[in-house]
Amino acid sequence: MNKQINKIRWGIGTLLLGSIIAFSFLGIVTASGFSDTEEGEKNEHRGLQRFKSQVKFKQDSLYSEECGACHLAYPPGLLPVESWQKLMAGLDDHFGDNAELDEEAFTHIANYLSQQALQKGQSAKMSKMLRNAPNITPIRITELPYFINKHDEIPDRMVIKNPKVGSFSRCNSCHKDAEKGVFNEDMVSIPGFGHWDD
Amino acid sequence: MKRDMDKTILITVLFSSLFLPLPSMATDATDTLQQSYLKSGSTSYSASSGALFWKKEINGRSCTTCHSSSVKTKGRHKQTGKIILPMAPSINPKRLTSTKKIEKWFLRNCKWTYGRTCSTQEKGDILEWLKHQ
Repeated sequence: MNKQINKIRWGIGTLLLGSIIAFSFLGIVTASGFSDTEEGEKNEHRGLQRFKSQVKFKQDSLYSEECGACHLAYPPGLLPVESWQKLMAGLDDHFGDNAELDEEAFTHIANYLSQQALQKGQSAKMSKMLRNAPNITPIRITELPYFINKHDEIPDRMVIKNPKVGSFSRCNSCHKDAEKGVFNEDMVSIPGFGHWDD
Repeated sequence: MKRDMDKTILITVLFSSLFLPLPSMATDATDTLQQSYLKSGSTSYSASSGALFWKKEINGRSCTTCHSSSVKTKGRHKQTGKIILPMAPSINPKRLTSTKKIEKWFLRNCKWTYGRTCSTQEKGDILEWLKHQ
């Protein structure tokens, strides 16, 4: 009889302990899964988990050379593929400039951009950039609602009317490592104003 | 014996130098292009016409808008503010070393500045002037 009770005790014990271990493990997994979202950003201040606002992408020397000759070679993950396609279709009038490419360079860069473009579900953080995207395909990164939302507190005098910046398109004026895809808020430094903290 | 050794060294040095990569010269690329422009009707090029064309302003735009008033100093892209390194090969030896690049920028920049492509005569004149800067 006692033997049977002992067996039941063991059974219950194992089950309880097992569930505790299983749930805590699940907890750890879920918590780390959130590191890509707002939770991560909060944790950053607590020093628990440093969140990096980084657009991960593969660099391409031809893209950097051709597009980076006139402006920052924007990380391709900042625009969805439809936007890149629309932009590439109008290189003869590229925001008022002629940016025509020869056929070889065009094909290479168009392929590169499609592969590295912003995609739904690639990461929670990046997917947020596609939220409320307007129906008309935007070709300016600064037209994405996510971008506007992130920069709407910055007064004109710091960017548009700041002679050292002049436009929100010049990401690297304030995000020094923009070319590498680093847009961490705690690394922002606005020329003439210094560190930005909202 | 010593003389023989000197000779060997000299021959070795001369022979090895054959395999040293030649630095790209502005004149190689510009000569090739200027030569090819001749086929489309140009007969000779004028450095002074090139210098004038570089500064010629149409609708408030000229080459100097972005390349600054001197080809020996840095310029700045009018729209994006990006620094453009000096165009003068004497200051920036990388300039005018690739025919492909020269043609690419002539196409883009003539269209932006003058709203049209530049003629082979205009391009030849600019190169004639710019290569000696």
